[in-house]
Amino acid sequence: MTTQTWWGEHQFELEQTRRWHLAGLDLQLKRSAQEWHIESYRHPQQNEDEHTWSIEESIENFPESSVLRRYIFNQTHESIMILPALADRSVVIKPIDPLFIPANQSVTLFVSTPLWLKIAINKHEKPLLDIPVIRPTDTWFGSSPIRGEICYATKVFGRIDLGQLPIRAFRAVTPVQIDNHSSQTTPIERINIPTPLLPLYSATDGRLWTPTIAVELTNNGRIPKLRIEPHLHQQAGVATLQNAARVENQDHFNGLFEHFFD
Amino acid sequence: MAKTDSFLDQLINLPVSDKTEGFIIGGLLLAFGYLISHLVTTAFVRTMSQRLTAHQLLVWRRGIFYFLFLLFTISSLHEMGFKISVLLGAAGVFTVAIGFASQTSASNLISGLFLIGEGSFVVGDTIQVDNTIGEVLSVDLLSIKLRTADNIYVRIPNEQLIKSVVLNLTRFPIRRVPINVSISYKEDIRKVRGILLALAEKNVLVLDEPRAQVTVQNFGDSAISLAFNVWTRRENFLDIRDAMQESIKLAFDEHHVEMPFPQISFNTGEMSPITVKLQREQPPTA
Repeated sequence: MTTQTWWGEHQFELEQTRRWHLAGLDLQLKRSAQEWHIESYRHPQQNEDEHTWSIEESIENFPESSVLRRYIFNQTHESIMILPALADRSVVIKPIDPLFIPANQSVTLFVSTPLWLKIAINKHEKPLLDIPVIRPTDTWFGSSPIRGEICYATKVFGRIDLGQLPIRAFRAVTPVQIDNHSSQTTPIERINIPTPLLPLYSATDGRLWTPTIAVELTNNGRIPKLRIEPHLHQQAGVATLQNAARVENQDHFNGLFEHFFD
Repeated sequence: MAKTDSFLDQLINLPVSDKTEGFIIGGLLLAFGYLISHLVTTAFVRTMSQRLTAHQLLVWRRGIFYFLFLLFTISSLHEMGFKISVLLGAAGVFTVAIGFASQTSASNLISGLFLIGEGSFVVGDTIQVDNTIGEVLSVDLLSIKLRTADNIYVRIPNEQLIKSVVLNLTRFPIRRVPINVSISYKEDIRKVRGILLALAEKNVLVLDEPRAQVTVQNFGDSAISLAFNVWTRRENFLDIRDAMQESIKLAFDEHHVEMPFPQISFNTGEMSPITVKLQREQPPTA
């Protein structure tokens, strides 16, 4: 089953305008002979739970605070790509209810992180625009205000059954497999998902997926072992690559080990 | 002057006396040395500009330049016929004299070395020295140069920096924004706290962690003082301070929370209010 999606390749005639309403982000694209006009307007109060969207052919006037960007070409191409992408910084997820994993237990949590939107002429070129659909809140992830990194924050339920996780257009699912090999119950207060290192896939049911992140907790308060699985979770089914990881360098990944849990 | 038979002397044979020739060669060597030092330093900066920070580049550039130039100066003096050992011996005596004469400069120079070694701030940081706030443009041997928000170039002697308190405003990636809020005694502190924390949560540039806090500071003469602290990235500090104060005023207006003016209560000592009578002025009778 293929569901309609807000991303994909779109054909434009000369002087044609199309408009996207994406959960509090309005986007209007217009093609002229030599330039693309991309106008965007973000509603002052965006809600992370909002997931309605529509694409319209009509032209409406944007509020004064909208931003118009003009991209000048020798000659504009007739198609343009709208692509989903993961966040450009790590995303810290915080379970809404406190979560504990007792000793010698394993669990796979399905968590979701907010999506970005890229507009590009084709998949291989640098995007013209790269913005979050719903701007998440900034947060600090580190042991003190001196050491750590700037991330985005989002609240999640931390579902263990994928069926309970609703399909949401502007969030990507990341399975987090936690194996607690330590002798103590481990509280999961905040988890740092290294989204810039993850590729993004789309499944046939309309969900967007990233590969599984496997975490192994060992004894004596050692740094947890962390790896990104090369394959998608089996529940993702058949999936298509939408966007490669923003950062290819795996060295950066090693630096995140100590910062995975708060 | 001692007869020198250096390579340069053999190469250059000018139709002047040996002494003059020595001075000419020495002068040329000095000019050449300046040029070479400059070229080497520039080449180094160009090669390493991607790998080193602006501050490290500055220190290396100065170090290489002065080292090379010193070598050329020594050989130039040698060419001119000065004996380096004698000069160094004389320098010992001179140092005392010069030390007294240029006490301030020497103090600045040594302070400069300490500043560079200490690394409290680097080029590109924003620092506050007394009442001056600015971005560090360069850390030199005698002084540092700042650029203020008004785009004014400020030179501060190193000695002053060593002696005074220096605030580095951009050392850490995040900063706390302190906002003082005064509310009337009739207001419910819990309600106001809720309003303020909701404002912090709404603004995406205010960090989720460390959390925003509202604390009661004191009971003032005419108002309750609250300290509202939010955290943000250092580059958003001014924007957040402005945006939060504006949104506080708007939210207080919306929720009818009073921010009082200074006020004084009078009583007559009998705990009964002073009676105020309004008297209408009688219209003048004809």
